[in-house]
Amino acid sequence: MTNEPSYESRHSLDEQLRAAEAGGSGGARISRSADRAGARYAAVMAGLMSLYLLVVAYVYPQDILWLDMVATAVFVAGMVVTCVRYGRRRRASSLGWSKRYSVGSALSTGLFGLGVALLVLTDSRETWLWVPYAVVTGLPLLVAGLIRGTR
Amino acid sequence: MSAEGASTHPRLLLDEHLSLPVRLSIAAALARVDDAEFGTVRDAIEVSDPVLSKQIRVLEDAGYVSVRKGYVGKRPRTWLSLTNEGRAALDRHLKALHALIADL
Repeated sequence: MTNEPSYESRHSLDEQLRAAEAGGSGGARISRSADRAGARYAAVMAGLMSLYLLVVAYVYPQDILWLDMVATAVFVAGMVVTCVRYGRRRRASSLGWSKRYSVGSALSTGLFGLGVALLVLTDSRETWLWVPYAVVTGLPLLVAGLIRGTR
Repeated sequence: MSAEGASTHPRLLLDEHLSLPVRLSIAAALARVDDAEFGTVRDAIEVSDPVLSKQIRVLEDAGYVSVRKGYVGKRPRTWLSLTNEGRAALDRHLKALHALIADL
């Protein structure tokens, strides 16, 4: 909808422009803060996923039931606590955050699943392979958290 | 001269819903994020709760802002986001403002 404003003095136009700039600055501050919170959240999730892959690779094959249960419980609790804390503290999402995080999360989860499948199929436990692979598993989430929302 | 196309005077592109500075501030702030919580927007643009509520209602009625209410635990929380229509209107309004100021 477009209409003429009731007044169009230089002063009122300048005032509108200043208001837009001030609002834009405020929005940029909100966005930066949301980006920082999102980056922390994504980094913790990436770290948990990478660590859990190493647990699957090196702890589970030892067949120590209580250790498997503790490791799984710690991982699940870590994921849940991180999600809940982020949800409670979130005050804004920067532009494109949901899409970036969804893509990063899907890629990391895919790499994690592929890693578990390879571990089951090959029985290979070489450190030179699985430590870097675990890092790569968390990388998409980490990158998703580090990309800044822009328009 | 045609009233459409390139001959349209910038003043005709000004949007009545965005002509109030506080509404323009709200729209410009929301344009930088996917969504933001009510209190965060209030603090960022430095207005009171009633003022923000009132202006958000106007922008919501115009279809420029989407309001989503929810809970985090037991606390109610209101989320605000600029609609695509709102983004387009803000872009048009800002372009018109710049053009008018350049002409003065």
